[in-house]
Amino acid sequence: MRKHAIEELLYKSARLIDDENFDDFLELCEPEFTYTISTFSDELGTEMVWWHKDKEGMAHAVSNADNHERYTGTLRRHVSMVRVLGSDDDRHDVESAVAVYHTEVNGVTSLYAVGLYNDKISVQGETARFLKREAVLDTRRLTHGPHIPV
Amino acid sequence: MSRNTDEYHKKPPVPDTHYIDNRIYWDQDIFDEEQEKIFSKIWKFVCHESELPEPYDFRTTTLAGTPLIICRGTDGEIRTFINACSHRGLEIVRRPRGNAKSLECIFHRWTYDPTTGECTGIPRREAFEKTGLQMKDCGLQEFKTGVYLGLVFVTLNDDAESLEEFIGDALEMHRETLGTKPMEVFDFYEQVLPTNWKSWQETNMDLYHEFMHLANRKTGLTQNDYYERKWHVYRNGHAGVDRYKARYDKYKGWTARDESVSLPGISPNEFQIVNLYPDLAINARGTVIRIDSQIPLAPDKTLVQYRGLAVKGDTPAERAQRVNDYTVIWGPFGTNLAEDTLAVSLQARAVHGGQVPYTYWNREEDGLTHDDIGLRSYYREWERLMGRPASAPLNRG
Repeated sequence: MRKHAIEELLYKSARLIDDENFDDFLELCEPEFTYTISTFSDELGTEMVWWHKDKEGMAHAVSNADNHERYTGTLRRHVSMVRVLGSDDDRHDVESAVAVYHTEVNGVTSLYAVGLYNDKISVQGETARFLKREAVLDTRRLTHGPHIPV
Repeated sequence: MSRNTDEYHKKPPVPDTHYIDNRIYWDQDIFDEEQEKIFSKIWKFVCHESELPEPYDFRTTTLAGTPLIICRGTDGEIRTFINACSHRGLEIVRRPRGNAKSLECIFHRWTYDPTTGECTGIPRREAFEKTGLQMKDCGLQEFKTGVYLGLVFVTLNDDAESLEEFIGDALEMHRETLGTKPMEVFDFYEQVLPTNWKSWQETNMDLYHEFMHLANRKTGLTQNDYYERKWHVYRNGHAGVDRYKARYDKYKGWTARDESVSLPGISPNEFQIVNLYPDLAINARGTVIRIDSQIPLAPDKTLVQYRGLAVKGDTPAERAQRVNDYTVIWGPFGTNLAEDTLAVSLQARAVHGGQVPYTYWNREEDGLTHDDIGLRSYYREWERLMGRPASAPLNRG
């Protein structure tokens, strides 16, 4: 049941972000939620942080997105390889693989980015919610900036 | 009123110095000549000295197609060598950074000292010596290297003027910011953009384009002092513009920047830009600096590298603040970088191929913010180095 609730949360949240429905995505997050995007720089030999927001900061950033000049097409997140790495009562450290594809308005699809989601997820009964997400990107050269998280 | 083909392609009604022929962006011969007459001749930024903190630390890059290894010696000096084996020409180092006391070519195990370029080992070398090739004749080619305010420059031209002469006074407005405290690169991002290299540098110099950015419209373009900044044009095509105070609190979700993490010589909300010819832009937004540089790959393909620079020795909280200040605007997921890359990509789609004949750099506003004086100076330098008029590089008309 616990694994099922976690998987449902991951898959549902991926679809919500694909749809840029951040109001509903943030409903899946606890008040202390933070979202970080990081990657390791082989050029500098250090970790880099490319996005770090708490729930309020995330709400501001994504609500501004459509007021910016943005890429065309859509992003589609494929989440797989879900594993619960550890648990502390109702809090669970969950790793999953994510591949993000970009489909242009002309229908051409290309791989945008790959990486891991390292999530901390609370599960109470049949309800799972995000406490924290860190998207750790393998991809460091992106074709374009999305104005929203991966 | 729309224009027919002749009207659309006729010479613009402005001085020749105030527009460019767009073939400058996509003609293969011009691109090849730029590699020879510009990138092989002048000083080019390659990295920040903080990327090579210890002896034997190295970084690799390319300049005008030449693979380079930049290494800090045991004497503290930074030197640059060709990153290719003297025997069969293989690229020796395949990683972007590292620390190595010896470099070894995988093909025949020739070895080199990365701090001197000396060839230190040739397996079974007697057979080479038999026909006159001694190990002492097999060192790597060394290129002139200089460090200015922590910025590392290389030139492939043994006869180039000194780095100090090349830069002149252009970095004076950044001297206190870059040169007072030790700085370090905390962010490195690169993108291959489907556009010409000059287009990216132009975007850093064309402040009129800031109307595109929501963040700039909210935090800058509504302020009177934004428009009152004076451009400073220097010899060798460099140019910079005076600073102004951005109102970060005017953008939804942002606040004014914190005094505690300001950089030397600039207040946390001030924004200042200097561009060094041909491809270097140094943008200081009070608490952090972004350094853009480019590696032209083809007329319509450019590797742009962005470095975030901050004061070395920050507390974790200070660094986190700077990282946030940097990434919200300039990071891959930030507000502005995505818009700039989108704009140059859209420009290339329509311009590369000749459909749109000219680009106008004819704004005159007494040398203030939205004046194209910096861009006109940039193209005078291009003309000097290339020996071609930018308005008719292929003798159009």
